[in-house]
Amino acid sequence: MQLNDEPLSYYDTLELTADATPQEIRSAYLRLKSSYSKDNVANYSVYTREETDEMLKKIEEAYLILSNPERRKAYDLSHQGHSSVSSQAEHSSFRAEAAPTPIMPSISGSMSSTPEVDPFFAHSEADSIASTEQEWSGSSIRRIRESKRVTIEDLADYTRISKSYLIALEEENYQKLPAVVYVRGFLQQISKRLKLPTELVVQKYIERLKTARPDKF
Amino acid sequence: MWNPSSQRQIWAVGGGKGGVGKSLIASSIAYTIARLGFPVIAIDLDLGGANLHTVLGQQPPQKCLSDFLSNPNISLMDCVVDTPYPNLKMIAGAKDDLNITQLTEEKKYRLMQEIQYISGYFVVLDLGAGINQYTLDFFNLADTGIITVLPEPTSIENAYRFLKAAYYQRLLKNPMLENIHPLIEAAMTPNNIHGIHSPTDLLNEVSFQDKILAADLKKVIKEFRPKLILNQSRSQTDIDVGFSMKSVAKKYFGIDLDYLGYLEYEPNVWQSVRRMRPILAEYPNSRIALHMERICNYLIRQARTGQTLNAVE
Repeated sequence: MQLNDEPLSYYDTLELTADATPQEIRSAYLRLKSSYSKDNVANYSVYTREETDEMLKKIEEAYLILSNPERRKAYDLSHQGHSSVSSQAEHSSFRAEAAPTPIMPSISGSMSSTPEVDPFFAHSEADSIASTEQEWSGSSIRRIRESKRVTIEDLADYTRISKSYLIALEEENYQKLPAVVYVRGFLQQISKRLKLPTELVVQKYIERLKTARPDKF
Repeated sequence: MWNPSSQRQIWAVGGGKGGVGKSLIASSIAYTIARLGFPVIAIDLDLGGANLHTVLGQQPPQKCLSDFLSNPNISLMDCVVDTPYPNLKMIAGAKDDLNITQLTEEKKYRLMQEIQYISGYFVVLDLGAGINQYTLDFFNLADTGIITVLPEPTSIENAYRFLKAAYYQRLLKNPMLENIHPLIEAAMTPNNIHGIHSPTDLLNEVSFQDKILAADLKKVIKEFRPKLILNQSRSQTDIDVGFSMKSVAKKYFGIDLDYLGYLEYEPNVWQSVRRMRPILAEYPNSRIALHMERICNYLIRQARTGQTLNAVE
């Protein structure tokens, strides 16, 4: 299971530093495309097909942005806060990919892409749901999300969690959820975006998951 | 971690599967650094099938590792024999095939100790096949651990297994990480209750529990920098396997697997073993010899800048 292994930065995905030349980006892309293709013996026995497919998707996405000078510039600008993370990465063999921000914000640096002023934060309806919420079920998370007018796509974008996981999480479709370490990370990210009490959400949700799917533990 | 002497470098050649060229590569490395002018001792640690002497073109010598293992009064240096090649000495493997289970912890410890106290030499260890406590201990003891792999699924699978086992072993041996032993052990067990399936899961779980321990864990992982040599490449696709493995090691383990290079499949050259001559002595101008020299020069440079080597000239 390497679902949360996907790094936050496109440069990390392509195993490059932020100063990579277009030529380096292209050759890294081609090399990684081949590394994670289904007939490459080098990923045999480590990754499942789903995992390599997921990785290829990330590689494509990263290349789509970084191969285009304008898109890359826009990306760099919007991720300037992360440059400190990238320079730290030089000293750490783990980089962001093994210490993904989605799971460990305190290690990979602060979530600097979080807008300081959240237009949805002041929304009173959502706050009232949140303040009375006890169970933190998937459906209540969805209610709050919807009342804050955050679409699944927005949430997926912010948390870098795939839409299908987010939906499974809201539907409490445990069958479709990955191992609990990931679910925990997901919940932390979602809570962050929706400004929910992270610890409580994680605790309540994981408790239910534990009862329903003891095999996930 | 283990480095009582700065006067020597230990390089270990392993890789899990048998028949991937460990002995040939270990002997070629030893031969090449000796030829580059450094004193070398090659040690055959393949307990179950010692043949380093053969690939170095030697008859089984009188003195060997068995003497050291069976007699506490004989030191490891007493077992060193010369080879016809300048600067190159060796310790032949056990004569009678030793089962690893027969090697007591005490003997293993004594062997590890004495290897570390060798001074003034490059020490090249030829590890046996298999993934067991014995090969892992010596791999992790080395300043440089080299994994050899063939561009074949079976070999690659075993190389990853070896890497994974060596990786967890390293974590378990580190006193800094004592508090997370249960989690490391869980990570080594399939279907563990923590849902930890990979090194990344382990780090995530540790980070979730304790940020300071997670920082320690990352530090220990960072120190693990194994090397990779791809043997018997026949095409560019084969050569690229090494780059792909480097990427997988990064994404899966979070480690920098250093791809040292590849050795081409040259049937004539590899057949020199049949003539009981070191391949590089027989074919000093082959591409294999050339690549080997590049690899060794790179490693020597790294050893020097890493300050673990300064007196061996």
